[in-house]
Amino acid sequence: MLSCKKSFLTLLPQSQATSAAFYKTTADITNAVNASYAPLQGMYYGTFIDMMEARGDNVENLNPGANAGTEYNIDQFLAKADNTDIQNTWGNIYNGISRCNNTLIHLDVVTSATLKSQYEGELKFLRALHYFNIVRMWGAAPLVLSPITAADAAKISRSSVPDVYAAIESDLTRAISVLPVSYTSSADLGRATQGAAKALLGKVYLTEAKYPQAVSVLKDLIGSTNAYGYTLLPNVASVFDVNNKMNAEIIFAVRFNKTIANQGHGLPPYFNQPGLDPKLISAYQPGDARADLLNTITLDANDKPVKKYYDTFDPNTKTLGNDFIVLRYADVLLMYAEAENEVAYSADAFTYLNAVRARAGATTFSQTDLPDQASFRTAVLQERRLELPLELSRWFDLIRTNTAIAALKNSGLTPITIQAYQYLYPIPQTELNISTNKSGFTQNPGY
Amino acid sequence: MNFLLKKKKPALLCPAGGGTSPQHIKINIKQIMRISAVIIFLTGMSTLVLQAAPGKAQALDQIKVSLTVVNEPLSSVLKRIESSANLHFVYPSSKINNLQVNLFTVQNTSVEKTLDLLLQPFGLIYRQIGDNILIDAGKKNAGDKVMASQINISGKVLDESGLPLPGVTVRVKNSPKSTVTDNAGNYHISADENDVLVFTFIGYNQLDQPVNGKISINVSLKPSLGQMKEVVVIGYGTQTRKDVTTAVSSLTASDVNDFPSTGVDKAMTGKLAGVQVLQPDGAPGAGISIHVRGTGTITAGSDPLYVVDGVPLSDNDINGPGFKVNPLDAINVNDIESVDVLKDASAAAIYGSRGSNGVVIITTKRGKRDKVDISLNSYYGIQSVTKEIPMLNATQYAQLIYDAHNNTYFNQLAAKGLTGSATDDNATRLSKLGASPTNTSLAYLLPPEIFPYLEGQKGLTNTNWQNAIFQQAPMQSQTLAVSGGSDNVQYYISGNYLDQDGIVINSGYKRYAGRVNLDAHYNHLKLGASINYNYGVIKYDNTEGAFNNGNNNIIEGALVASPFFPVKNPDGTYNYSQYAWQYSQSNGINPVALAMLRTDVTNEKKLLSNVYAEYEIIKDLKFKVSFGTDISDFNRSEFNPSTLPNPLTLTTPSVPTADYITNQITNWVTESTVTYKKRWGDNSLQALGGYTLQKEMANATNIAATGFPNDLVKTINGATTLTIPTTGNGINEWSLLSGLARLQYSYKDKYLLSAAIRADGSSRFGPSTKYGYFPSASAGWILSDEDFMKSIEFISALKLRASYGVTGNFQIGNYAYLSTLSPSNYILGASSGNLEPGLYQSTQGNPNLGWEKTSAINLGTDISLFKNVLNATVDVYSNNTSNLLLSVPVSLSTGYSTQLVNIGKVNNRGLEVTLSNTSQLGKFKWTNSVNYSANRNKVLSLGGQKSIITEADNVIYFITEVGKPIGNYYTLVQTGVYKDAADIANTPAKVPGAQPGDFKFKDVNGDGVIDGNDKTITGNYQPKFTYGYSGQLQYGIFDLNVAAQGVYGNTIANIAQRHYNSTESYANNTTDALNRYVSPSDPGNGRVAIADRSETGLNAQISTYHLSSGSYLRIRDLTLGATLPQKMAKSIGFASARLYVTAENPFTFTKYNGYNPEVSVESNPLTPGIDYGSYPVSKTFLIGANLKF
Repeated sequence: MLSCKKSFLTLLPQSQATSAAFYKTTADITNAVNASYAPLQGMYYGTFIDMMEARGDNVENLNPGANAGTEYNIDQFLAKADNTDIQNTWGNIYNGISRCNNTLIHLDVVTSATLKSQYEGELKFLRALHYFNIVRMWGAAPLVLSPITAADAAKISRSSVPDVYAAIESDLTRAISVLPVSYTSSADLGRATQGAAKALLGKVYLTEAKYPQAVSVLKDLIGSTNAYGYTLLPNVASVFDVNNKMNAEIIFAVRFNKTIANQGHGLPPYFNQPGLDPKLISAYQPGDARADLLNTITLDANDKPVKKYYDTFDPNTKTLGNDFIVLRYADVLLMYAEAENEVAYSADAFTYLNAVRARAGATTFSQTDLPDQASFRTAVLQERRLELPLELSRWFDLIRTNTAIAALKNSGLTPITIQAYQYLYPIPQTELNISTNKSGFTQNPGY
Repeated sequence: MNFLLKKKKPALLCPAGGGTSPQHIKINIKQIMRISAVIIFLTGMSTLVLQAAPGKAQALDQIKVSLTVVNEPLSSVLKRIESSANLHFVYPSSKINNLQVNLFTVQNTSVEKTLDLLLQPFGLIYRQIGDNILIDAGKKNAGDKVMASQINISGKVLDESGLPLPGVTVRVKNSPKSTVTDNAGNYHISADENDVLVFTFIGYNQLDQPVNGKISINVSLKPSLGQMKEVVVIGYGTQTRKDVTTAVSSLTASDVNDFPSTGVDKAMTGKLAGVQVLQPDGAPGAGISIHVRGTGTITAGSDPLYVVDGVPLSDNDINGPGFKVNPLDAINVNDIESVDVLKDASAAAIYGSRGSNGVVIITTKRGKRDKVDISLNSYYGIQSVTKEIPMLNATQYAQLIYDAHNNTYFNQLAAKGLTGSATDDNATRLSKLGASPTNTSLAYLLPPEIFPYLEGQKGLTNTNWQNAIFQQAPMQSQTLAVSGGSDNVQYYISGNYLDQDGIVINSGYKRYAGRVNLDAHYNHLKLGASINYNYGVIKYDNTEGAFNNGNNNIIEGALVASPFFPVKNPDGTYNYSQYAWQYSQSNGINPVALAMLRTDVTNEKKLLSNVYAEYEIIKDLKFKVSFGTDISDFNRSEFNPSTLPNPLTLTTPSVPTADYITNQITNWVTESTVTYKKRWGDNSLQALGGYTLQKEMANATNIAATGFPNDLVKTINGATTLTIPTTGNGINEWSLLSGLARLQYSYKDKYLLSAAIRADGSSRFGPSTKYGYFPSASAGWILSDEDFMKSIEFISALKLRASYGVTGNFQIGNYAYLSTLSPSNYILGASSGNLEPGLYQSTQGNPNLGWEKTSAINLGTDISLFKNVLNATVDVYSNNTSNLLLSVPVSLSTGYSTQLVNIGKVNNRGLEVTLSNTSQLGKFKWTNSVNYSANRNKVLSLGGQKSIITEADNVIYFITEVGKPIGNYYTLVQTGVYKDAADIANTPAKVPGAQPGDFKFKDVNGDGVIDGNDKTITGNYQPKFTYGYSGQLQYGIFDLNVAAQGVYGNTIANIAQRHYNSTESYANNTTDALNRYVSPSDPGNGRVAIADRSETGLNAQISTYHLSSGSYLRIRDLTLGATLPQKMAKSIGFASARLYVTAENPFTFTKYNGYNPEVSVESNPLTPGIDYGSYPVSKTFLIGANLKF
């Protein structure tokens, strides 16, 4: 009777798997790794555009009433700790981290040693990317490197910025050592590669102002003799061509396919008839192919995307299918040029800055144009603005170079006076409310 | 049944006053027939008809005779007595004629004594009827039929005011015989002459009337105290109202049947104290929501448990047709015998883990012995919308757009230090502000559509879109029922057809329902079944959510639609100009086209059944086993044809899309119970024990289809692409295993005690927490039966009740204690890439998840004053719900946002009063019932958190805070509009960027700036109190019935207003916009903002501007009926006939500015009271008939 009772009342879900039965086979881990990439889709075509692009001086939010001002407040530096976009961004990233953590502890079930290292590399790359985004937006942050219970999470402290960076560097270093340069099967195109890990580590070092290390790791990716095969496409527009995905310039991209349900994306507001800074538009030289990428194309009455993100809606899913490029070769070249200039104002720096300009059809710089390290520094920052608008680079470039206050004041859009504390976002209020660690888990100053 | 002559008390006997010859008897036959007085059958005799002249017969013990007999035939002796006493003997000559009296002497002895002495030796007995004395052989054995034992009795039952009382059960005590009075209150029954007739009728005191040989018995029943004799269904049994010690509200068949309504839920509205019945959605077939004594839960469901004929229904919220279907909708109102709502935890504890939100028990009609009843209940009606919202006409709207776009233009010019004029054309505007000359999407451009209206041209389109989507909708319902039975088998069979068109075009509901209720007994075995089958077809119009963003709400769509555009083009196709409208105007799809062209049909089939067997093992010890099912099966097909534009094309043809959703829900329950009743001395005991098993499996399929080549094939097989959404598919199961016991004891029928316990095990909880125990106890004291109370004359009856009980709530997800995985796929590979499957742990389980428990105390009294003229029931209660199943936010650094835990506490306390009275003035009879209930809800703990802030519909915030009620609105407080620049300058805390005419808000946090941090608690959907009234006025054949429901002191968030009451002008506005701010010299009413297409303040943020009082008083029903005089009814072939006219929802008194103050589109307890454009409630005029054959 007792056993009868037990089975009558023990009903396990038939249409939903439970985690107790998961993480048991290589195939399970493959699934878990795939699922670790998936949150990137929502981030890069989601709140990241507000948090990383609109925050800067390229675009402006003209709709204070929309979504209770959530986006407007981020753009206009009015956002407080209760801003739901800030909270969602934080939550989505930590969700991405937890997927990596939950999978990393079960890698031993993978029978193939090669596959096991590859998965470790992919997951550590993704985790590093997540923490890099976190540390750039919030500074010190809880460093969760293995699954954590709610009770433990309530007690956690914010790890210092150097500690977070150390973890990022450690993950990326490990990723570089175990990830393949490229995958033998084209079906794996889109997975993190050794090149992606190096490019990301280069960006991390640059952000940390560890210039020699940045030069060192980025150098591997450039030049004609490198093993990675990255190159600048002759026509900059074809880098973004939706029919030319994962081309030779792309190092890491978030993948989409609009013909598959839930795998396309919408057209984000800032990519749709953006209110772009007129000073950015006027900064392009005549004939600079990059200027045209910011012109809009009419899809329909409401949807007029910039050419950089042009795609037609799939009639069935009503979504677009552009990949979101996270790391590309032109970025690597500009990062290298910038780091190299900081190490030594050298010809090498000019070579790669000019490579990017020449490809776009802009005139190249000589040592006469940029006679010293400081002028080169200004030029490479401006070049990054011209090369990478709407690619979520600008805001981090401004804070990394401590030029954000001036840039927002001098914007061709509504000028905004900001303070240095606003380089960081407020920690979501909900996190502070839940934390029982009142000394180790504090709000960023100013908020 | 022995015919004991000596004990027989003499009736009032007088001489017949006429001759007693046979001739005289014959003459009297006609008279007798005429006055329908007496028909007596004497078994074993030829039938004789005798006159009984009431009040004249002689008393046998008064008449003295003297007699001496020697060897004489008995017949001759009797004749001598006849002549000397002026009496008449009637007897079967065969039994008397050969009898001889040997020796017999009496001297001045009463006839009574004489006959005793004379007849006894022969084994004969006699009895007197009037002046006639019947003589027959005496009973020898128990089974023998004796003389005159069976007489046919007839009579009339009247109520306390002398009006006939139909439907009264007349039963012969200690016999299976019973009958029911007809519509004129008449009954016929055969009974033994010294039997006792028992008259029972719900709401009246039982009357035990000895037959005493009378053949005509007219009685009048007295109403019982607060319907104390009414049978109350208490779950696994019944009790008389007098014995009930818990808080139970009841409705009887007449309460629900006298008002035509499409569902029992609607019939309940306003009639039960403490039971709030809301009709949030007027769509045909849509359910209601019932709240018993406030909201005790936060995360788990707040619906009561519904039990129909013993079957606890599935708690599966079937959202099949696009709205929540109430499980009661499958029940035909005309089949209902009673509705009982168990309100306090002690009453509901017998349902244990599912009793926290109250229990609604529905009992359907069953057949009765000896009486075949055929009834037809039929009505036809016309429904129309209760209210239209006053919107701007085309000219007014054109002016609003003109102002709004110009103000945007001026603001943008000013920001650049430029100037311009309202008369600037679009080209000038574009060039001044440096935009592309071809741009037609900017907010500062003027839509060319407005100019003809501004110029006052004649004959322009001025579409009233509300008129276009609403219609006068017919409805009808037909119920044919037959009931009856023999001693061994009783049946009730009914069929119902309901056809209701919706008041929104192209929506409607058809239902075909059949019911068979059967009971059979043989000796100690009783078998029965209740089977209800229901087939419904719902034609659905989407009427919830916003009009845009793919929601395509037809109601809001009609409100915001521009009157400039016609419904149809001259060629007969639908006009989609609005959808492709430029100039920063809204893009809703033509709501008429949406309603007419979309196909959205749900077929639902439901089988509710229960089969039982009951065996009486020994006297009063019964074992019962039952098996019930609640099986529902629905499929919903949606199709959007190519003739409807989609967001990609804006015009037609588009690519058609379809959805196909099915769900099969099988819920079965088996119950085994043993009951025992025992009475000894002054003690009465009832005991119940049993166990039940219940299990549910739901299997859902949801397929989205697209890529149809055309509109010819509308089912999903015509599609080229099928996708299966990640939600809404798959199998879901739960099971429940329970044991229950109850003991009810009473002493002297005035001290009442009851105790119960139920143990439930549920599959929904963690391994160590599966079982929950739910005890309860209650006591009652019928004070008025005490001697010391009997002197207080104005108190007719008084009962005090107290109860305590624990109930549970298990309405959470089926597998919530487990960590589950969710698919999360990704794209990898060359070119566009391929889908690679992914899975991740999406919830963090909680193996300790257990029951949410409510412990409740209830004190109540039932009192009856002034000889039952005024009855009152008063209850006060306090419910503490603890271990709340709460989805608690956890630190996001775990990777999860919430975890379901047992934490927190909520208190509901309240007062419920029901007053009723019956009064009569001449032919007027007036009954009234008023109920009042007030509930106060308070969160006591949220497990360490101070508050939970919840966002709903992406625009409105709610806060649930410790010490406050659940689900408060959390918004800005609008205090007016800025009058001018000086007003802005002088206001300490400003809205950044605000211009004159923008909303002013209260600086709640005092930080000198108005922003999202100035949100505060601004109201709650929970009312301060609710009240209801039902009354009946009878005059002769006419009856007038009124039912009303009211709610006071709540607030509704009418967030649909953010579209149709925002002076941004992208959507049409209500006439409130006529009072808008225009300039410092024309500030409007000081509440409505300036017209501005790109608002500069926070006008669009949900604030107190969008909140509205939800108080209302609604006349639910107004019915005038006429019951035909029986003669007239008979002459046209009916046993009885009542005709009526009804106005349903004829009047609603409210300040609420939306359609329906009962609205709440959110079922989440944390976010109640949102109106986002739901289906309006209709007012209906019906004519109907209740006919019996």
